[in-house]
Amino acid sequence: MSERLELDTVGLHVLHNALANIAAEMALVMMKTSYSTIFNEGLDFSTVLLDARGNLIAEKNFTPSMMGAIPNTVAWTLEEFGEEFFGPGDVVVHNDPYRGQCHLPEHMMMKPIFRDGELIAFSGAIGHVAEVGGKAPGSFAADATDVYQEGLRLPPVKLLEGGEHVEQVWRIVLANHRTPTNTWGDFHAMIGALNVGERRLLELVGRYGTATVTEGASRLIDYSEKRLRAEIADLPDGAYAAEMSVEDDGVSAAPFTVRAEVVVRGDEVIADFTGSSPQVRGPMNCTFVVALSAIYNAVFCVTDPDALIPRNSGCYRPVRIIAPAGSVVNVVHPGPSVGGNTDLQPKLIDLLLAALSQAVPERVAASSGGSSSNLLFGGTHPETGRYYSNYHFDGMGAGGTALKDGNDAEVTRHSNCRNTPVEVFEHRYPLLTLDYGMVTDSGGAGRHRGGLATTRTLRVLAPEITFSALFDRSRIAPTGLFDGLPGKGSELLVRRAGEAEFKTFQEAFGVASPTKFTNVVLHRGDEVRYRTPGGGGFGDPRERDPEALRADLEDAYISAAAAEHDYRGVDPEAGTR
Amino acid sequence: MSGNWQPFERSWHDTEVVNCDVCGRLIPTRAWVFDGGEGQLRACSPECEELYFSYVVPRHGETPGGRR
Repeated sequence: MSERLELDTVGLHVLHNALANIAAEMALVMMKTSYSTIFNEGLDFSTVLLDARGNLIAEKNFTPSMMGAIPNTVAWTLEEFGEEFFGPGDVVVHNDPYRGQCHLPEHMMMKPIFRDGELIAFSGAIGHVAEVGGKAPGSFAADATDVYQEGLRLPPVKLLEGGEHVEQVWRIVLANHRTPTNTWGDFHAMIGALNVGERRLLELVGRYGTATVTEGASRLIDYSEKRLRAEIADLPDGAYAAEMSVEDDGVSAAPFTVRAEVVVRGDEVIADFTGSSPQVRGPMNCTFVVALSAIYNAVFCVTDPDALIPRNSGCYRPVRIIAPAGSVVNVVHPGPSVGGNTDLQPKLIDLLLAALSQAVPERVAASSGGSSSNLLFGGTHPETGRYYSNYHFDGMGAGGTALKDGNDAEVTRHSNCRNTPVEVFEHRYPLLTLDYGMVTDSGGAGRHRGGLATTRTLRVLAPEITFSALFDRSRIAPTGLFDGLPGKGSELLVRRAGEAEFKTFQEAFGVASPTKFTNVVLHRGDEVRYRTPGGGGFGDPRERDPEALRADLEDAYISAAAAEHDYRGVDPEAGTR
Repeated sequence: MSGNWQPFERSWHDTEVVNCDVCGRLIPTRAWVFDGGEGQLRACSPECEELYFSYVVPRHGETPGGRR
């Protein structure tokens, strides 16, 4: 006998919290049981519950970059294969960038949940698998010119059928990933999360009844849609355009353009990317769902920054997109896309916020560092004799806002990921961290300055290690807003053992881009030093609070020279202007 | 709405995917086909036909021949 749950305001709140907590528990399972640092330290994943039609009903969204992929991946798989494709105990995996994934490393797993023979929901987990094959260890080939160089592409296929491993599929996957033990562990962490989601949801419907839970979830979606539409309706109607240059695609040194027009039309928003460059040859192209995630992110930033509206498919309904297929914001086969997710998506959010700054200047931020600053490496560990590979990222500066300085050392706003502690990093990989810290003067000056970038120097401890990188914003710095100044750009340097000076990788290895290169071989004693980009400043620096300037000087966030040059007229000693 | 649903005839070993001529979204199994003024367009939903006539045509003009 089920307990009664009235689907009134209180009951819906109870149901929402119950569903959200299931998604949160799923996330804990992934964090606690995964093998790779990108999951258990970086938290580069999200866990979700969806209804039987693929509508998102609850999420633990560590990584907003996946917002566009989650509901579309499940819904499109359902449409392509039909409900009859799914049986109890099945788990389907899918990382196809042309069928709804963010890029090749992102793997979505979905498990159908049945009660009394009826499909009532899906549990889902999506995460960045650290190594999926392809031409570069870490599966981040910054010079890839097609998807086949990026790794193993899986259309929706079953990993488990009726609760049993589909061995033929596992054999293909494990044979094509460089670190199959990690894949085995990380995939099973995801499956464990799905199982917990299934078990807890069945407990919930056992308590309140299937009809109550499914009807309640449907009403929550409608409620979220209504709330978000009301927020959008409060924005001034209009068409707000912005344009941005991106410095290179990793293959050619030529910049490309992204253009967006954000149209606020009553209670809906249209993000129109018409006029953006055709898809580029290198891997800086976005998939459709990445562009979708970017506009969701921007809209949520200006309408509901504290996430008071339950995040489910209802929040997505008022947002429409035009992302022409074959353009840099909607790559088509066989174009590469691994960097589009990590390094174009944050810039798309900056671009969309720059457009929206014309409508709601008090709710947006200046440009963030806009690069995940991806560092990839792999080789044979000298202490274990085993092959390792890792995908690593560091924090950058966020843009200043009307209310506050940008966050320092923040992993991009589209990912919300955490850095990996030095102790864990050094335990796992043959690299010594010589220094790690924030960079003085890297945040763009402003009434509210940009957040500070980070720097790190690594020394190779193995006889040989293969390095790749995909950074951005080294030549086109993050822009300020409303007279705020740009943040400092990124930089990647190398010093070969025995040499006195650091050089760029172009100088040392002749690579095409200073920040995007693949499979450079370094040796014991070589050192890599990098700096991520800082955030852009917001507002005129001369309007900065003298007390804030004094604190920045005391903390060495800015230098005396920069204070004199960029904040002329603000007297930190006197505390008066 | 002037369009109608038209399913694709595809075999399981056909790996090609089709994108909506209006918004760019993937169309998995059937397209909403309508006359865009300069030829037929394949859309992912009737909502995209509405978007086409209410926004795309006034803003960018008609899309020729099913391609943006």
